[in-house]
Amino acid sequence: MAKTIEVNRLYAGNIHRKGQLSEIWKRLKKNRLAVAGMYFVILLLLVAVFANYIAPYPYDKANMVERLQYPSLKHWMGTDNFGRDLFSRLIVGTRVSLMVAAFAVTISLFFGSILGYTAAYIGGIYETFVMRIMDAFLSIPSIILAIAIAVSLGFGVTSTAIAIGFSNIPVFARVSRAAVLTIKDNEFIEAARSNGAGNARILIRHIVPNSLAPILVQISLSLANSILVISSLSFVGCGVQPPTPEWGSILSVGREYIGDFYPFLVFPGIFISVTLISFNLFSDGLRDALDPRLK
Amino acid sequence: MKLLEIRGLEIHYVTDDGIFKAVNGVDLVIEEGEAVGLVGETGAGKTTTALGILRLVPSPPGKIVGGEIFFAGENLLKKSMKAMRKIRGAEISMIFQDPMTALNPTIRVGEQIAEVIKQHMNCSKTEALSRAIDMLSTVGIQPERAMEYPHQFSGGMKQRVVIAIALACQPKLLIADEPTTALDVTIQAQVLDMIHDLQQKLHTSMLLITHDLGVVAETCDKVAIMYAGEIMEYGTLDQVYNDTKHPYTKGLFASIPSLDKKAGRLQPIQGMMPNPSDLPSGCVFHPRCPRASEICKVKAASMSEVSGGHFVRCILCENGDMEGK
Amino acid sequence: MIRYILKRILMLIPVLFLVLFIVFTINYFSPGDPVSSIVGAEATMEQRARVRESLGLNDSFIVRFGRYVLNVATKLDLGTDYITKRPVRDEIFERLPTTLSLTFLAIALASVVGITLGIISARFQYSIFDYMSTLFSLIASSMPAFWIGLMLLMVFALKFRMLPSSGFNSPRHWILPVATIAFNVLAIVTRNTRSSMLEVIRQDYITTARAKGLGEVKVIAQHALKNALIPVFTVIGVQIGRTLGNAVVVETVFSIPGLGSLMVTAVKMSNFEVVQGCIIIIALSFCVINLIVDLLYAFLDPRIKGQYMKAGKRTIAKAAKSGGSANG
Repeated sequence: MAKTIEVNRLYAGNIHRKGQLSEIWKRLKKNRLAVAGMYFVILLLLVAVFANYIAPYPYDKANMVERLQYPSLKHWMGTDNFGRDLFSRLIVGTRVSLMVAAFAVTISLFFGSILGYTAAYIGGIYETFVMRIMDAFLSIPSIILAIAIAVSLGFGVTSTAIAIGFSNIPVFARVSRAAVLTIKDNEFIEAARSNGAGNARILIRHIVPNSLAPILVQISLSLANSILVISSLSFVGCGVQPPTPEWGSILSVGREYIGDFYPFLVFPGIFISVTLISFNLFSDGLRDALDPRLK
Repeated sequence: MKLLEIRGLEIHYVTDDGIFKAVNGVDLVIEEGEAVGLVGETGAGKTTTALGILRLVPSPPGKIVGGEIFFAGENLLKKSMKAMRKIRGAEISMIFQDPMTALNPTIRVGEQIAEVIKQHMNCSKTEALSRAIDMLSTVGIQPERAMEYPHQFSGGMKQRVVIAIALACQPKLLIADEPTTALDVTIQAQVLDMIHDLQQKLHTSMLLITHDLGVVAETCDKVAIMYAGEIMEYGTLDQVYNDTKHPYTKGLFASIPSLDKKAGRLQPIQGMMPNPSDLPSGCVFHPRCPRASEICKVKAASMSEVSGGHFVRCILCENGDMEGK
Repeated sequence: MIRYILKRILMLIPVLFLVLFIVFTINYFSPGDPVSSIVGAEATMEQRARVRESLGLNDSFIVRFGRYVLNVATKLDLGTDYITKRPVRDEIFERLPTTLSLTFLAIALASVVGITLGIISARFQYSIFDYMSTLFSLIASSMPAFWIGLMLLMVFALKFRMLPSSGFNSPRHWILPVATIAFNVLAIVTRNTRSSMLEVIRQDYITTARAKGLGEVKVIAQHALKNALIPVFTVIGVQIGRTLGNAVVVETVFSIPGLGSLMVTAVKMSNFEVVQGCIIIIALSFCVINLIVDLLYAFLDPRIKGQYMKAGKRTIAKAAKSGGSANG
């Protein structure tokens, strides 16, 4: 019974865009975990933007006298092998991770959705051709593909972002294509066409806005995945290189102290895990809120 | 002899959005060998009542809050789950509304029938299977199709399989929950005839749930009219069809097109079924009732017997001034 | 069925060809120069040119790609490791079994434990066990595998000295790496089994089963489980890619001589032939495993099996028809 009511509301929402947004927000609010995830994501964004003000020390200020110190009031999370404040490095690391992830997702979103939309809209041989290539890309695990691309670009912040961005294009192509296909045959598209709307107008006015939901969810999921891949790449030494304070690369240095200095290993991992958990909780909640029928 | 007697049954669904009062004090009697039709609109609580008899109301959120269900003299609501399992499928069985979803898609149909036989009849697997195949031919399906899966059957065929499952152990009571609603019109009559014939042949009592008064007229001895979780009128076919008392029942008849009577316009009942989480005060039907008066808004009517075995839940009948119309 | 399997195997060929193309293209634009690593930095220009010529590096992209594909397709020749001077194929095949066993064991562990946890969770929805396992799977599915590995190493190998920290000789060495790789997938399988089970328990045919008087164990084991596992298998199939990726990263944590550590070392040395070979073999393994999962899927779901069989049946019917006309 509750389901029917929900679906009816959804249809009602389609008529009034504003109403739809507030409905989505209402459904999202019900999911407490998703809201918690969302607040954490916002917090992380703020940390990333104001990293320089939050970090108590400059992230690159070495102090060989104070190296490998355990957490204290002076250094909340201790210091690393060069005596640099770990907390400050992790805070600045938030900025690095989020920036690289945002850059990567922008690349995948741009190319992926162009490929996906055009494939679904044009169809025919073009669609088969594009999607076959995407399938081939998807048969390489994304970390491996990212490593391969990173190799050819050389290691570093920019090339890591490009590598991850390119390795995620197929996912976006698939999602956007599927989103278009589900609404392409809907009656309101037919209606718009019978009213004399042209291809471009239908694509921009009707198909794009109505296919946004799964793409939004994918953006959120891909941000999490990108952060994971960045840290994995950096950890094995194929991503962001020291001295840039990236979580994975801090861990890869910390690994050498695994037997005798825990802060070096524990805190970066907590930063990565909390970030990924927040993004994933938020994505799940967003998906359920955007389409209650999927639940 | 009374086979089934329901007294004051109350079933609620407790959800985050409120308490949905699906069944509110239902009384119902089914005699041995008798077929009773339970008629009402979608959402009147018919299916919930049926599931309540088998104690299969999905829980959570569903909960049997009050009442008694006597089957062959014993209160089902007091039975242990183990004792209930001995009754389900053997003494009371059920035909479900939608044959498309009532069969397990990953199990061969023969096995699905054999399963219930093996559960209750204390026989070997092969014997159960051969009896299942007999059951299939009883419902008019070739024995060799026993090895097929549900997706290889048409809707009508699937419903025959469901009937075979329900009747495999020759139950004393068969509950048929809108057995033909999901089927093509052409198949509906076939399936209904088959249920009716088998019920007569096996001397099974039947509770037939439907929203179609025509179906009841063809297959049942008695009829109960249900609205918003309450029985509004109950009696023999003759009493309810020819001496209709309750304004709701009258409304139902007025909204059916008739071939023999010349009528200008159908008269649908005004308004909508109330939301079960927010039932109206007084008589639940008063917001839609053409004959409602002030008192209906505050005072709920009780069941009154207008003539032998003919019960009506309406304040007008309590006072006896129903006769006017 | 066999026809279907053959068809699926044939369909792998274009995908693999495209993978070769993608990897070769990426490789082609790589900045490194294999010539330097072969002849050394002090070699003269002439020496360099000679090596270039002998390796065929002066040919056009198309020619080089064609040659590579031909070598792979006919001789499974993935080129030569410029550093060790050994065939890349041999180096990979020495290490592939390790990585595949790790992946396979991790998937098996994750499936068995995850499905069990998921079923219990769903059956006792809203119980303390359910809350704990849901919370666990929420957190565990988001933790990076390499960090889980580091933490397990730190606690079990270095702190309590219960298990060896590196090396790969006895079954005890396998415990931590397999647990690490399985961790994410286990969490995801638990979560999906739970939700799929909850979905299936609400279905009408489960009510039918209960209305037959079956006991709860039979209802779950015989009616709900098979249907609930169908979507879970899809999820496991999807997760195999991630697991393979995890295996590659986790190998470096535990210093396991597998494909992952081979690839990472090769990347650092700019040993592109090896990187290229590794990626191709990983993609191939991924495709083959996915094919196996798809076939298992058909085994579970008679509706899908029916679709595959239809083609076969039609040919039988046709044969019967033509036979009949010959007789008549």
